[in-house]
Amino acid sequence: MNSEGVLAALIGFFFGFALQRAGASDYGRLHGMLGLRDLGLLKLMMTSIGVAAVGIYAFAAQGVRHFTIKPLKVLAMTVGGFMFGKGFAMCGYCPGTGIVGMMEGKPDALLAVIGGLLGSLAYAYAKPSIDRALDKPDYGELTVSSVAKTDPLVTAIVYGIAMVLAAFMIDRIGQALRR
Amino acid sequence: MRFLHWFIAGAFIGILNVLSYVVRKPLGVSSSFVTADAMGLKAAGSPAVEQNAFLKKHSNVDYQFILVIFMALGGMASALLFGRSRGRPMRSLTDVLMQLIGGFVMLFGARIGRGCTSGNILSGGAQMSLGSLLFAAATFLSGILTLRFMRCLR
Repeated sequence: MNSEGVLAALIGFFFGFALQRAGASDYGRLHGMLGLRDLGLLKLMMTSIGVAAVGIYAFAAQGVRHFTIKPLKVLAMTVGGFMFGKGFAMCGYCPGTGIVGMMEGKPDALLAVIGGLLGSLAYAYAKPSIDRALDKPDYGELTVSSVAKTDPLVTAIVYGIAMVLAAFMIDRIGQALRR
Repeated sequence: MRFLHWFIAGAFIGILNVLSYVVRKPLGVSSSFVTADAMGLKAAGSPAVEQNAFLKKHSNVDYQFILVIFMALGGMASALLFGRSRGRPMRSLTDVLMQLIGGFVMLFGARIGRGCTSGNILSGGAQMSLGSLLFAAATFLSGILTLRFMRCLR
């Protein structure tokens, strides 16, 4: 493995470690989030998005541009998201946490991963017709700052702080409701 | 079992995402399912990979695939060191089918939207991508409604 591969391995290892330790591969917690009973993982995701937004755009301002911004294909994103959410609720894992759960020895996660491998394979054959149906309208790789016509880093800082603050607000509201 | 606090884990994963961005690209998982399919078919001697452009495109070990393999190992190491919760018990054929179909629909949807919780929600959200934010909104709405519906059936 080259140095990039070694870094990929290290980042991946700690990612899996953190997901498991945070309970993100816990069936009850994932369902607790979609059932709006336990929003811990939602708060985790919002924090992660906020922190990463500031970091990514800070490096981008220094010339590191490794963006993977997905195009705003309205139909593909809506239909894809609806199917994704439906499958997520049915099996109780998302793709990454399903793999982690499988490695923890959970049979329900193993089955979800097998289903996922089959679903990915089916997509490979359905792709041409799906593209024809869902590729338009495509508004391109839009971001909050490209639409608002604001400085990307400043926007990311405001957006990042807003995400983390919103996570803490959800936490407070949850505590108040429990009392 | 006590889990890591959401803020600590979230900030840590956010920093990992920045590192991954600097090295190659932000975190992503789901397209590695296609890579696993393609590599499995190739190993089995199937000509399918050569005949299907999408499988062929994803048929090699790439940055993300290494990351996902080690994510799996990291999760396993963590479970061995700190313990794990149990999954949902598989009591009937319905339970088994629910997992298989759920996984199928989930990854099929992830490919249509070109990303999963990692690539679209964590990474797309961090890049402030409007397409990913739309995907995330659709995911949560659909997930919440599906779970409600499943409760009604039981």
